[in-house]
Amino acid sequence: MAEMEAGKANSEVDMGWINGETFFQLRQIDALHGPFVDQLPNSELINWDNPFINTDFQQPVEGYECPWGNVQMGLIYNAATVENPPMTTDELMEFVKANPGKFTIGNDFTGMTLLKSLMIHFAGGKGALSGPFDEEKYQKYSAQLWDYINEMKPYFWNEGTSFPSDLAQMHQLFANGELLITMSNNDSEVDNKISQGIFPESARAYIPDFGTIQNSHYLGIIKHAANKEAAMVAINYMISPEAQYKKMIPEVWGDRTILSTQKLSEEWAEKFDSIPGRKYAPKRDEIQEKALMEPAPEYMIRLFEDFRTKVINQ
Amino acid sequence: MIKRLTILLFFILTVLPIVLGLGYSLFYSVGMIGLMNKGFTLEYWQKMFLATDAPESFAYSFLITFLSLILILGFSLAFSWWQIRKPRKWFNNLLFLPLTFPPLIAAFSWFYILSPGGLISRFLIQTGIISGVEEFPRMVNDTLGIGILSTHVFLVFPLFGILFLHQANKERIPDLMQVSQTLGSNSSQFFMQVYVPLILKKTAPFIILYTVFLFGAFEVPLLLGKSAPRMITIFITEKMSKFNLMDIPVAHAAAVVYSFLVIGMTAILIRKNSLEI
Repeated sequence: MAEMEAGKANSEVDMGWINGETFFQLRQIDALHGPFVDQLPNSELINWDNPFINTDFQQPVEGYECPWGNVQMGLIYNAATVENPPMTTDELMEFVKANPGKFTIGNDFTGMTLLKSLMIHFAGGKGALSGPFDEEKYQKYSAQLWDYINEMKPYFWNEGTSFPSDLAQMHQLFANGELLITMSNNDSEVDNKISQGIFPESARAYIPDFGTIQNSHYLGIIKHAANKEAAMVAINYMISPEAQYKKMIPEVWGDRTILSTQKLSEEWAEKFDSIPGRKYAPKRDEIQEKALMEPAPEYMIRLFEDFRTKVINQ
Repeated sequence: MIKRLTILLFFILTVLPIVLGLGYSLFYSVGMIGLMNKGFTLEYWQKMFLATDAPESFAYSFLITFLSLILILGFSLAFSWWQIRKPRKWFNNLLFLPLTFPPLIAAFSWFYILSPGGLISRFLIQTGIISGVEEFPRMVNDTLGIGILSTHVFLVFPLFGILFLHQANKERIPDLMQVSQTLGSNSSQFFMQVYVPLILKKTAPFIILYTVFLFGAFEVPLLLGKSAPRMITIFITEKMSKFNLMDIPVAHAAAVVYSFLVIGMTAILIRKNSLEI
């Protein structure tokens, strides 16, 4: 954006890792090159039938960004200290009140994803906030959400007077025992962090019954990129079976591939089906039924603003 | 000729970038420039003052700056007074150590000392004084700003301590003290009526510079401060870089107010102290 405002003809950046609100913003200012995805040979292997891949925060990707990975938000707890993690919104309320100072929500992308999941639940569950941004729905269901959050707030970490500004801080608080629950947009993060020695081996990920948001992340090419062709070559490699397989290993990243295993050779399909290492996260086919679609990006933008005015500053 | 060139160079390197930056922010904040802007409007200024926590952020920045300054000056004056009367060279040398810390590293260090999962807390748990992290008093991300104030004192007190000591030696304080004692004053009278005003007056330019430095602190309150209220620097950065592109002009509006406050504060203090920097 700064480069466009400065009238720079060639961007310093060729490609970017984007999704949701960044895709929305870059489309708003017409900063993305495209459509280009059809020109990538490996794009034929992408699972375009999956709505969690072909749609980004209710926006059709239309070839302006290429899917790179797919994740679902998961909550992470320590099975050594928490026997029964909260599964419903009522249980979460009880859990927070019974364990004062041991739960919080990050004032960041991940925290907002939990808030969106909760708001979809209050709005009626799957599909309730589908379609373009609806001011009336937002006012109605966000009010319910803030009532719910503010009832728990005095029992949050630091008595709700401060909120972690990023996920790393949440994880750190969880690792040193200050929090009983952390969260991640990557359902496989728990395996990744255990393998790095950051989380204890008793850490487990789960998806609560009210469901969590599943989304994909993408790669885009900047409109004024000096090396668009090179960026396309790089992206084509990043969606190749080799690179996707490597990325799906929990120690590397652990997210779900955006490729359709049915479109892969038998050999690759078998390899993808038997990726080792996902031990502490729930099975993907089990959590799929609790997956919620991302609502329109304006919901997140408004929630982030209102989280400050209606929760943090209260 | 050399004098004129020096003035021109000074103007190009210091005044011009500030004027250009301030002008850019001013125009951006009223919708005159910027990719998303559509022409002159005061909407973003109204939003900043009426619909955001910018006023509280400015007030909080003033409070933290004021408290930091009081603590730093108090410790530095006490230290230099103690050193001038009973010099301890090893302690003097020790003070150079904190000066090597960048603010971010210092903030991390204090976080690991004062946080509930930090060193003091772990020691207290290991020795059985407290049974868990929840019993440890909150000293980071806290209401009183203990973490921020501790880090500011750690970072700036040594510099002022050394500076005050140097100034005290330069002003021949021991000789002055002897004269005042001969005339019948005691140590505390000399400290309050001669030492403190003299040292503060002579080092006022540095105090002003560090007032501006503390007011613009970013890394330390980012790591050790609360979510609300937050320092104005954090408010501006969040509005500039988070999810809503329409908040960027609001960030520019706050940056303009911040700049004028800093310039105004400096001008008033310089005028009041009749300084020639």
